Amino acid sequence: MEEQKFFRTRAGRLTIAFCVIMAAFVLMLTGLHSDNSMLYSVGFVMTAAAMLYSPIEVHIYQRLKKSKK
Amino acid sequence: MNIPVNLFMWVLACLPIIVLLVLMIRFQWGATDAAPIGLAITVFTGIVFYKADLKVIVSEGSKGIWNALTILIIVWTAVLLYQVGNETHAFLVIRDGMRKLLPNELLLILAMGWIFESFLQGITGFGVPVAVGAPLLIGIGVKPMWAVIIPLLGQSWGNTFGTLAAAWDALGMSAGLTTGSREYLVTALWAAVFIWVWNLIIGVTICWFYGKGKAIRKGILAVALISVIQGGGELLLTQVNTTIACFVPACISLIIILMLGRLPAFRNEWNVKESQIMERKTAAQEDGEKPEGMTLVQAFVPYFLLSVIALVVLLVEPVHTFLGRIQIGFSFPETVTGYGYVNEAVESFSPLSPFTHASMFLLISSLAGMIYYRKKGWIKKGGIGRIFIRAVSMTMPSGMAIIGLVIMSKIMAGTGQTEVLANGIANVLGKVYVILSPFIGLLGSFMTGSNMSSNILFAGFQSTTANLLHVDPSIVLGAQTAGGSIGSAISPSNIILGTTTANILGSEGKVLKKIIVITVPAAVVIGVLVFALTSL
Repeated sequence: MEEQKFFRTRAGRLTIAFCVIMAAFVLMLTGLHSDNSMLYSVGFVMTAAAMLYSPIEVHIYQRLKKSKK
Repeated sequence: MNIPVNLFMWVLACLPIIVLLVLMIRFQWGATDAAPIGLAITVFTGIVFYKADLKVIVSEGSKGIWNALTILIIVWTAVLLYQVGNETHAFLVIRDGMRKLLPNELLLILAMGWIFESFLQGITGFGVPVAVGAPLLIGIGVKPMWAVIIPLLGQSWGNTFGTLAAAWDALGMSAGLTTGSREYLVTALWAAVFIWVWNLIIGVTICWFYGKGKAIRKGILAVALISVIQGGGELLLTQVNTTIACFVPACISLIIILMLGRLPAFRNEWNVKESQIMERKTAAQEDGEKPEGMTLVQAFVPYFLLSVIALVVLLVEPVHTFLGRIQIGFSFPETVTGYGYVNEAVESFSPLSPFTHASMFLLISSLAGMIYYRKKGWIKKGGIGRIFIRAVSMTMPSGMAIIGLVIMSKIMAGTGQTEVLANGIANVLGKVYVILSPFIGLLGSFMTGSNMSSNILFAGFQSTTANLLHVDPSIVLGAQTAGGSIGSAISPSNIILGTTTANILGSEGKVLKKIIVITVPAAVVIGVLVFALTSL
């Protein structure tokens, strides 16, 4: 119950984003070592998505939500 | 490298930094939101205009994540240490204890915002003084925003020779200075001279913030004495042993300020009622929460432990060598951009020695503090869990910002944007460039969050440019690292550490706005000094 609440907070969602970056880091390292461009491209996309989550949520999604109200 | 150094390419290299500054200062965005935008621009200009392929971006980005992780584990453990004090309300004991020792409020602010941070910077660094100092200042009644600004300034002078001279060693390594050589000692001397100027400015500025002219008049002698000990002591010690050049004067200044509190001029209660930085009511309201029976020494137990562990591990050579054997680092392949900018392959990039890393000292101090306070009954049932949950919640937003900023700086460096930025300045300005030499150091610290990284990025460039312009490279290198020290006060990743522990995350722009008006003129003063010295 407590865990569910935590992941609904901003800090919780950023924790998920951080975990995604860590997973992407492993993919990118593995991709670079094995020269597998597919693997490191997936890692790059995951990192980009996790990084951009916060500004998109705060400055686009929440503003759109407010303007709809 | 064949990257064209022209106005267009230079503006493109500047763009991420300009956007970052505008978003944070003009639009008041927090660094968690602004850093990814700066990063996105860096990636775009890197691929489209600097001809970097995805492999270059991914390789530099991965290096950035790794570097950010080594910073983040310090942030997390520093916040954990803070949360131990927060759960036990030890900061209220520290506040009251220090007030008794230093009834003069100005001296108290100087001790808790400048001297204590210098001491922490001497051994730990990497933003720990800011993360730890901000809540301590809030505890003595300083408004949260000022509680972030003061430690940012207070710790900054120690960034070159602090952390047992890690940033200085990086400068020496990057500029090819042989330890103990004449160039090495002369560069250390100039660096210490410029840092001394900055140290004095810090003391006077904190007085000004506290109570304008009234506080300056009251505190100028104390500031001058502390500055002679810190700045002058560092200058002397750089000629003997650079490793302890910051730590020893910082320790002495801690003792001296407590002694100053006994002098007739400072032993009576004194404050500036209308001080803009104080919020005395809020601090007074928390009196009821004070832990029963906790003494000042007991409130400082985790910090004493931190100092002892850090000193033993870092200064006792056999212990340091033994614990430093285990290292974690990743290898990276060589990457080349379309312009032929090469990032050489590395066997073990920025290896981390977990047992000699500042985060380990912080973690052990936090855990030992928890056990001690739990035994004494100052941490109630469920308190340990609360400490960890609060620590994670508090650090995640800042963690994302730090990752974004460090990746941005790595990609800028790896695609050649940093070099174009620096070359453009030197080419256009000629010898006048030396005025900007501290700015380049400042810019490096701003971008990377560390004086050490700034020196790694720019020391080679500054030395080469100085030789091209036939000016003394020792003076320019001294200005580089002094600028790096100044820049650590405005580095977003350091600011976030403070806003996180002060619980005002998102106010980074406001903090930056207040400090930038001090740091930029200070860099100008040092720049003019460098110009005068190199023109003699």
